[in-house]
Amino acid sequence: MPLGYVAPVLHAHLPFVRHPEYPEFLEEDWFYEAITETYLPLLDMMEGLVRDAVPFRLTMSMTPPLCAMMRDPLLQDRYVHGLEKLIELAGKELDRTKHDPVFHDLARFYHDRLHHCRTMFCDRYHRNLVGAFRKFQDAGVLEIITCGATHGFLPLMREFPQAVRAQIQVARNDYRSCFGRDPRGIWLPECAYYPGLENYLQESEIRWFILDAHGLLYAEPRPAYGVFAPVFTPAGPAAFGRDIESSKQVWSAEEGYPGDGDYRDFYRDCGFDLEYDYIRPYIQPNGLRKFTGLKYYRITGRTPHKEPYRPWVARERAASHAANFMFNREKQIEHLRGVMGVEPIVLCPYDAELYGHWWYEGPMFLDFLFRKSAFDQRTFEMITPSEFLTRHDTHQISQPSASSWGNEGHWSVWLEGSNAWIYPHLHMATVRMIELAGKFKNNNPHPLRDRALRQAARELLLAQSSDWAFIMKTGTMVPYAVKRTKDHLLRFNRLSDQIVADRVEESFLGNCEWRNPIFLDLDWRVYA
Amino acid sequence: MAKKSPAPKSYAKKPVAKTPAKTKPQRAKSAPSSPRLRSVPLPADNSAHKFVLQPFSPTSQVDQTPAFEFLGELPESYGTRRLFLAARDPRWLYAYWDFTWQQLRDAEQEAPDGKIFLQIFIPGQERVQQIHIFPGSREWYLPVHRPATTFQAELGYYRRDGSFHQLALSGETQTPRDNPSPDQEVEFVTIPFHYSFRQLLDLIQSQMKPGESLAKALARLQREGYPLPFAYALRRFVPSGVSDRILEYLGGDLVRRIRVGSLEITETLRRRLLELGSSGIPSSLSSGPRGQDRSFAMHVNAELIIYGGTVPGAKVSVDGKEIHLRPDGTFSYHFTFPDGRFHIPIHATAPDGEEKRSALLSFLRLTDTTPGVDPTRQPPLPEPFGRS
Repeated sequence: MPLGYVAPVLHAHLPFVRHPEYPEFLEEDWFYEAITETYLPLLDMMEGLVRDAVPFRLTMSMTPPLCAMMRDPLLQDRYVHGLEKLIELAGKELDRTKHDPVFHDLARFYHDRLHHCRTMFCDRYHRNLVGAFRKFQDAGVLEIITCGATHGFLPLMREFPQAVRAQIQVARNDYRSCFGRDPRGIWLPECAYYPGLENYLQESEIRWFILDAHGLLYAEPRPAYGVFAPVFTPAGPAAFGRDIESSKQVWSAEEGYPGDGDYRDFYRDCGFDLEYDYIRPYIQPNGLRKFTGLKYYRITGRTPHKEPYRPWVARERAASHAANFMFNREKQIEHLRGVMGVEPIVLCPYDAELYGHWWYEGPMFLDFLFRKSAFDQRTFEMITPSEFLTRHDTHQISQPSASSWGNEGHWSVWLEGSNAWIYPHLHMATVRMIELAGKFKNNNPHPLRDRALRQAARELLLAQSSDWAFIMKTGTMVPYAVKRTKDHLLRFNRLSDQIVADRVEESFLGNCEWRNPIFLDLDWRVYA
Repeated sequence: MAKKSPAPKSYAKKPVAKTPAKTKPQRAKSAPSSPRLRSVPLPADNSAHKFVLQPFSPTSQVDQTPAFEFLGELPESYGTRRLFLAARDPRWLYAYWDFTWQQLRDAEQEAPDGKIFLQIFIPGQERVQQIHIFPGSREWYLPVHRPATTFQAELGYYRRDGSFHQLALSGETQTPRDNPSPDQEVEFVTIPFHYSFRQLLDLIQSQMKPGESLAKALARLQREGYPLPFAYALRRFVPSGVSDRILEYLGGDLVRRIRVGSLEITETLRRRLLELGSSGIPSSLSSGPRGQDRSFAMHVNAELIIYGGTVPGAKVSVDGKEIHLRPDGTFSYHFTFPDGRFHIPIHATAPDGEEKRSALLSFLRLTDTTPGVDPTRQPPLPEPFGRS
């Protein structure tokens, strides 16, 4: 019997970004980069672990917008097209660097990786990444959980129960269509929780969720085991707490692994380093440079001078970091077991895109961690929260404290000078949606009006995405986030006016549907 | 998206300042009334990197949106007279009110003293804050510094007889706790994973008391030995001191990590955990509800004024924002100044556009306080901060 458990959790999410109205759109690169650098490497890792019969457990949230993008034929086509261009660039790089062995090896490294991505995406998974992840869930090694329908920040819609319910129920229904069963756990968007939210989870039969450490440590009454055991909320869903120590080892700039000098540098990229005319076909259509993903340098140190990246050294470093992480968990669990007298669970949640996209060697680190944990120690076992609750179904009852995993631990990232202006508009649209649903829920079917109501609900949900407020706060790509928020609200308002006036303009409605085809089976009556 | 994450190592130190705490009137539209101070290097948040597509000076295609795509503008307000109040964190409330300028102007004219107030109160108890608001303002950030307290807000004016005429009333909101609960009662319950909540509710519906939650009802029934179709093994007792030892473990760890520069919330947790005495009861509670704080306290804060001058008619920008010069060419600019490192570029262009001058001012604020010191509330001004 192990002394305790470790539950790694990856939160995979991107906002719904899809622009059929443009032949290329910069912000779609968020998705394409994440496929190449995060999702495919994670799938590759799991393929290897299963092939080698390594016992492992991983939990991933895959949000509805991300799944919608993964299933979208237009984005799939565009991803393949972009990948082909990158392969072409990598081929040119092989020629350009042929007299420079250091960079030539790196060019080959990328050339091979990109070819491998194409093989995986097109030949192995036939473009179906949702299906690829689902296969591992069906095999019992991966637990996929859901999230808010569009990653809406639930505490700031608390006054509108229908809006909270819609975020959860629409997500649950979408999960069913993706994964063929009900979700058992949920990643609350931004881990943002307020007391009472568990009632909506109970309605949707969602059995557990994750809180940041203080959400559990400050629960009422005080949880006897801190963050190292879940509590049952009064309504029944269990709350797990984030372990601070293991989070810090991966996140921290000072102590964290991703900042190691041997790891690949995120910012030095061929898109900016190479001569303009040469790189021109591979950057933005408007001629502005952008990241290509071909990055030849390592972090090196706190200096503008960067040394060439050495993949084999980085790999060794990832292995030693995995060993260090495992050792620390062993010591942590031995200590906690002694204090608690029962098996602790150490829950380690991370942004999935941290692994691979930002920390290039992250998937490699995870791969080593799973392998070492399976064969090099007996102190802990990897587990998913659902499996833990199956084995251990008796826990303390407590009411967690309002919290999020944002800076300062509450709402201040999503409610401050740069983004607070959105809430009067979001709330107004919510009120109108609730009124519309209440007014028409018992009416006879009316195909055009029903379509308009469904699209209005989509626009509202898309406007609620917490990503827009987050981007406004962090200052990266702000005009895009502002425009997305306004456009969804303006489309909602226009649709709503047309529904009320019983003059739905089909061309406008069709245009909205063409732009934002998410939640195809959405039932707008969820707002009633 | 993950949030509490430090800067990448390829950049130096913790780069992001705390969210500026605002107490000033703000416009409801997109432009915040206070200029955002730019910290260099990039934001601390690792999760933000998934949105980074260019290392610097990001631009977006939305800047080049064709005219036919333009859907119009959102209204400044809807005039629903809704007052929204939310506890943003253990110390701050945020309120907005959906009144048109004309509605507020009319209310001002109805008020005998011509003033509209936003009042914050604890339901059934005292008023804790009163803010005089102007028709141009739509929102307010309120420092209340009272965790685990329920608040409500109302907007209105005073009648001649001194009574308050209410124009809008918000819902209630509760600030979250900022320390471990002194309540250490442990109540266990078995909730078998293979039973749905619906099944469990159906099983015990007839036994549930009014208002009783599922987990509480199950725990009571299991305590009473009520027959249920699944085994329940109650662990009624946790060895004494476990909770304190867990907190001690976390606290010690937090202290260790604080030394190498850490996360805001980690610091908050550490301070709260250090407050725990050997009994595990927070010291602030054992001395009554913030009693000590009230008897002797201090508050302190800082603002930043940048000032200078050039020739009349020149164009000057501070932190990327063009500002108005006084007739004699002088200018000043007023910022809130929270903890953090700030780099503020100032550029001047001659009236004929031919010549340019620039300066970069850098500031660092670090605040370390003893218990009982709060940030001074920054006073509301008739004009938004930053207006020259």
